[in-house]
Amino acid sequence: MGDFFKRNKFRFLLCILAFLIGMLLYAATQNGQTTGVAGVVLNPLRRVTQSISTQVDRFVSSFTNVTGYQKENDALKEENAALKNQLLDYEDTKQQLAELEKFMGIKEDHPDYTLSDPCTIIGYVTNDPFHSFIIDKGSEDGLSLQDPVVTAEGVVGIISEISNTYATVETLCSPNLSIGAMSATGGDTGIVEGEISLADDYQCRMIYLERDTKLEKGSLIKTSGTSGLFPQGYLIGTVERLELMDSGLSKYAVLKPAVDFSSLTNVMVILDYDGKNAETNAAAASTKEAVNGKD
Amino acid sequence: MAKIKPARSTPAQKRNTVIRWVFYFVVILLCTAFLNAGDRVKPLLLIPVSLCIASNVKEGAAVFIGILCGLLLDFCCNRLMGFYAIQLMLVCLVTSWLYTQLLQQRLFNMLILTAISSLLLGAIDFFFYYAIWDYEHVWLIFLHITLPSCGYTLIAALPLYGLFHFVHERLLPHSNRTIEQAIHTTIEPY
Repeated sequence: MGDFFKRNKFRFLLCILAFLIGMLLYAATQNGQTTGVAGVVLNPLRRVTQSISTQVDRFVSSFTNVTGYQKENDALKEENAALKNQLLDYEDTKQQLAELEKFMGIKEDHPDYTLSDPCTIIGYVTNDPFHSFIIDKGSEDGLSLQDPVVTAEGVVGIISEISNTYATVETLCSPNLSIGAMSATGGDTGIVEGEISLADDYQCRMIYLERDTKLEKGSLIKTSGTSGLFPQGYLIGTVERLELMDSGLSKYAVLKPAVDFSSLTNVMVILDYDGKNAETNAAAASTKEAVNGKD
Repeated sequence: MAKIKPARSTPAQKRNTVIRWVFYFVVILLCTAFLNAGDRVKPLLLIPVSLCIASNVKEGAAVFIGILCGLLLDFCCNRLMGFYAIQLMLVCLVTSWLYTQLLQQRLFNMLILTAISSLLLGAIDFFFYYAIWDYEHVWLIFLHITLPSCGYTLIAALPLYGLFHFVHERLLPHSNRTIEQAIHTTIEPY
C-alpha cells in the first residue's frame, strides 16, 4: 500500500476523485435538471424490471386467490385458474381503458388544462420513504419542473427532477411538498404536506386548521390554487382523523389521498392551466412595482 | 530496484479472466435491475457485489468497480451523481488493500466488511438526505428504511459471497496456496 501512494496509479485515482467531486458539485447546482445520460441507457432496463416486478406481484396475488378458490372448487381448479388469469388480463385491459377514459374526462371537465399524454411509471426510487417514482416522459414531451402530476382520482404530486426523456415525481407523502388546500365546502383552509410517520401508510396531513374546525372523518379536501402550483378545485383526499398539533394552538387532519399510490401505473401531467404560477407572477409584479416606486 | 515481470498468462487464463469480468458485469446489471423494481425497502445489493469483486482484484480494478457500482446506486436511489460513487470507490480501495495485506477469503470477513460499509453508507445517506433537513420524526426513516436496508444487504451478502466464491474458485488463477493446500499438492515431475 505504501508503494501505491507513490505510483502514477494513485495520481490517476486522485484525478478520478477530483472528477467525481466536480460531477457531484455540478449536479448539486442544477436544481433538479439532469442530463439524463444514465437514464437513456438504464431506463429500458428500469421499464423491463418494473414490468417483471408487476408481473411477479400479479402472479403471487393471483396464486393466493386461486388457493382460496381451490378449497371450494377442487374439481374445477385448473379451469378456474386459467379463467382467472384470462379475467385478470381482461380486467387489466378494462382498467387501463377506464383510466384513459377518465383522463379524457379530466380534459372535458377542465377545458383550461393542457394535459400531457398518459405517462407510465417505469420505476421507483430505491428505498425512498416518500414513494417517489419515475415516469417515461421528460422535457422533450413538454414537461417542466414543478408541474402538477394527477390522475382522474386526484392529485399525485409534482415533478421534482427532470431530464429530456424521463422525470422524477415527488408524491403528496413527501414533506418537501406543500399544497394550499381547502375543504370541499370551502369552510376550512390549510396546507397539505407529507409527514414521515404517515408516509408508510401513503397518508399526508392538512395543517394550520383552527381548533374549532368543521372538518370530520370523510370530509373531502381539494386544492385551493393559492400557491400557483396546482389548479384550484382538484381533489386531494378525504379526512381520516383530526389531531391537535404539538403546540396545541391548532389542529391537523390526517388525509387519505384520493389516489391509491400503491397501485399506480399511469399518471398525467398538467402542463398548463388558468392561474398557473399566479402567486409567483403576482410576487414578481409587486416586486417590480416596488422597484418602480423607489425609482 | 528492477521489477520482475509477471509470468505471461496462458490463453486459458485470459479466457477465464474475460469470463470472470463478463460475469461481474452481468451480476451488476441484474442487481441494478432488482434495485429498480417495486416500491419496497430493498437491500443495496451493489455494495456486497462491489466488495466481493474488490476483495479479489487489484486496487485499480477495485476503484473502477467501486465507481461503477456507486454511479448505478446514485441512479437507482436518485442521489446526486457521484454521491455513492465517491464513497464506494474509497470503500472498494480499502477492501482491496485489506485483502492484499491482511485478510483471508473468509465469509466472516466479508460479512463484517459488508455490515460496516452498508451501515456507513446508509448513515451518510441518512444524514445528508434527511437528518440535516430537520424533518419531524426523522429517526423513523433511520429505523424503518436505513436499518432494515442494511440488514437485508447483510443477509443478501451470504448468497452473493457464495456465488462469487464459487466463480473465483474456478476462474481465478491460483497465485498462492494455503499451507494445507501446499501439503496436499502433488508436484509433477518435469
